[in-house]
Amino acid sequence: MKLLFLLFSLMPFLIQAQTKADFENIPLANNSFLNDAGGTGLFESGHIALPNDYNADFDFWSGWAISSVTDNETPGFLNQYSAIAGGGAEGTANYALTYAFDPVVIRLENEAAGGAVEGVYITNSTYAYFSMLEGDGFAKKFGGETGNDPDFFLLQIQKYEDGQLHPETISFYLADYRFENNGADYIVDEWTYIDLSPLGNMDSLSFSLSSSDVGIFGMNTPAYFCLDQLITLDMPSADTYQNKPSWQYYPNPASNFLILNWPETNPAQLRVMDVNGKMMASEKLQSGKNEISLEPFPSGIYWMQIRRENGSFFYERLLIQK
Amino acid sequence: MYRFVCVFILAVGVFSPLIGQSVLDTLVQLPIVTVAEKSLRHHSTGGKTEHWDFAALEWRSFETLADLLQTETGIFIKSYGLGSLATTAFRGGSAGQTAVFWNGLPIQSPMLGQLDINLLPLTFADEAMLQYGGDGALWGSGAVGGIVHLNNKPKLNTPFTASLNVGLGSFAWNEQQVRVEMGKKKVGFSTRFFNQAAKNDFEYSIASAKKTQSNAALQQTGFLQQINWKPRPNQVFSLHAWWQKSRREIPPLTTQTRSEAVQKEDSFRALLDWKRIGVQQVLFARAGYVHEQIRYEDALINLQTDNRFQTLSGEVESQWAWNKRFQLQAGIQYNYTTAATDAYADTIHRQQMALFVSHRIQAGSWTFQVNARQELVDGQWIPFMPGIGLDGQLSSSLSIKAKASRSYRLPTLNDWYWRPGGNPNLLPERGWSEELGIHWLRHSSKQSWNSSITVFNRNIQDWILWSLKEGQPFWSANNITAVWSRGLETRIQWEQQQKKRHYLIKAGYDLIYSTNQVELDNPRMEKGEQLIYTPLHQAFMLLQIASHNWRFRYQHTYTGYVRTQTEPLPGYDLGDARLSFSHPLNQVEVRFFLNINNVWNSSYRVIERHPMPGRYFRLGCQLYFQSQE
Repeated sequence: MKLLFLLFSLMPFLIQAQTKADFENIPLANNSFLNDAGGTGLFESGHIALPNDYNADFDFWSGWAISSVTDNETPGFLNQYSAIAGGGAEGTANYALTYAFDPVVIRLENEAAGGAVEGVYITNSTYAYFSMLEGDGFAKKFGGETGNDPDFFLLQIQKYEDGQLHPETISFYLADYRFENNGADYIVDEWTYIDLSPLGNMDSLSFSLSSSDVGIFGMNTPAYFCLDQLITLDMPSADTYQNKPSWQYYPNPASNFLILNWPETNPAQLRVMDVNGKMMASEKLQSGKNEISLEPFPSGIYWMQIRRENGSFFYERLLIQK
Repeated sequence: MYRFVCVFILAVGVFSPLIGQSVLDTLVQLPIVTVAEKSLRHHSTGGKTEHWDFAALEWRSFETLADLLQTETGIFIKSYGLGSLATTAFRGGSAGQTAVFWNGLPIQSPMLGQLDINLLPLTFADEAMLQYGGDGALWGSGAVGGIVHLNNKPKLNTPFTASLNVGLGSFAWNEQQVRVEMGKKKVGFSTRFFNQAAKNDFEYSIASAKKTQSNAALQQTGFLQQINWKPRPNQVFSLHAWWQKSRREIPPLTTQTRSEAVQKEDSFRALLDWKRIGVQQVLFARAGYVHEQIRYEDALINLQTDNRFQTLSGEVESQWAWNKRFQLQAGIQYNYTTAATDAYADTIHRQQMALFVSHRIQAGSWTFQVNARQELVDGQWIPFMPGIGLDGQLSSSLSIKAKASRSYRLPTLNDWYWRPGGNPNLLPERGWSEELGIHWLRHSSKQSWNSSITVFNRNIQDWILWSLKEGQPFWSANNITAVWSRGLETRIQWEQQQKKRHYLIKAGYDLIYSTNQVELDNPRMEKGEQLIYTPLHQAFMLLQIASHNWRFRYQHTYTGYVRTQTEPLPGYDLGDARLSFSHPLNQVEVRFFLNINNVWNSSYRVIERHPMPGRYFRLGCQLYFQSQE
């Protein structure tokens, strides 16, 4: 009994707080989508940030979009904002989707920055689902002409930590036709929960898609998937976000240089990471005014990790516009 | 403008001594110096050419330009299916590197830079001509791999002729053609009509399973009107109008369960030309108009697109014969194009102006020709395009042809303006090509032998590909590679006439390397790798026998394996046979024909994932009337 009492007493300290990114905070009409995150270039929900790049001249977007589209019957790229499950996971309306011809990332922010991700719901986009099921003018139906091709559509999830992409990978087959018995072949059509806790602490998640249908122009299968209900675990407050000092760095957006006024007596290590989480620069911050050159950095969203000598760290966001 | 003037000065300056001389020559040689009615541009000195006259095309009245080029030339035809899109890969070039002219009017789509040659029925042409190799100086943009001409002959002094052709065949194919023409001394006309429909629901095999092609029907209707007027003995006006409407379903790929896509094409081409033939000068002026609309609809994915362009063109050219040895041709051309599609920000306008000159010198049995062109596109100079050619008779039966020329292809309007990815900073693809041919010709009153070997070499820089650039999330058009094409073309032909029997055997083999010279990531291409859909080996054989009222033709083609976007496609053999019989019935000649296509029932594909039909049949009847006047 004493032991139980002790466990319950310690529970708040043993269990980290969870935050769910469900995208319901993003105002969206029924059956619509948002492919332009505006000036910040980020969609934010819970403690995650999803990079988005929208070109108004072309009405072209890349990165992530937020959707509440429910049409899961119309094939083709004109229905690219739809999840095959017909709505968000766990009965919610909104969900995130991405075009990931090249790998895309999700950045952990605020209390979750540098922490772990417990899990996420994933499903196919309607566009990719029907393309794999029936084929289209560009991509093959899975199984090929005979139905026997060992096709697959694979999502691989890795993490960036301290500016490095780590090799640990969680693989999830959005479609798998590699079974000898064709009856076992499947294409994911429901939200499926994926446990990401084995990845441990991270700065960001990296998602990459690959398919067996590849030509000289790369992957033919539409490089889309949908994501919802991503659960982050807050970092212990002593380590990170809560002890972020009141300090100044400017200008932001920056162009060719950045001034950082480090308010603490002890020096700290500054790491600048690009939108994917890849480390672009590492500098030592001395107490007082520091200046770093941003000349070699292309325009985009960056994150700065400031790590003290005692190991605690926090993040700041930086926008570079050339 | 400076460069424009330079070309003119080059033309006038180089030959100015001849001008003074020519006055004298004119006086002395008036009775014997006549300028060739055919323009120097068509002579293609130093280059290989092939020609089909009306009699040859009449054998193929139910066929398209794609069928002709596929079976009688070494040009690889990228056919996406029976009756579907077909484009050319001429001497290892891209589809946009073949220039196609109808009576001298360029008819490629400026939006796509290419032309679907399955939409060009041979019944609408009186002659077809191929000029192999690049010739940017004479024919402008796109004349890189070769040039195709479809021409209509003036109908002056032509007896009243009427013909009705009806054809039926496999896959619910049916076609009707009507042709009426007549010409007096001053006025002539030709009116042609065709209507074609087919389901194209052929069977094909995958592994051991039989499948039936679906959503492959086509419906085409065309009308051609030609009027010639000769107000004076040395002047002819010709008006040509060609209207055509096509509706083609786009069948599913072999890796696709279903398709509901339809492509509708409407085109209208009109041409008014005037020719004045003098003793020493031919003056020629042309005004042309092309309108084309392509609508692509796919109910399955709620897609509807509408692409259209209009081109107005004008041309004035003159050809002078200074004396027996020297001929000069010079011309100025103007094109104004507008194009619109949802993918462009706005309606696009493009203006092109070009000046070209061509000079030919005849010295005994040797002919030398030098050509030059300067073109201005929307205020930007296109690189100067020179070219030279040489024809020489080595003996009574042996001759050589040699040619070197610069050629170019303008970026298509889609390359320039498509959003996203269109790149207004694109440069034209351009480069040099050279060829050398040895021709052997021997003939007697009854038979003739004709053979040739031609080697060619071509290097094109700034080759345009849609590619994925670092840091850019969408595909865009870029001048990112260079292509080296080289090859060998051999031809042999034997023809014999024996009383009422005529035999013809024609065969050819082409070996063509066309390799990418820059290593690329997206699209993934190795340096030195053969371009996709460019066969290394191609061969053809044609046998024709005409005896009394019977005619038989067999044509066989071999196409070597090709690389594709995914897996290579194996090579294949195809054989087509045709038997026809004609019988006079009063003033009407009745002709019957039977075609057996893909005689050997080959299972093959020209383009990956696009099935082709096995053996199929077509038969038809032609009623031909010609007045006795």
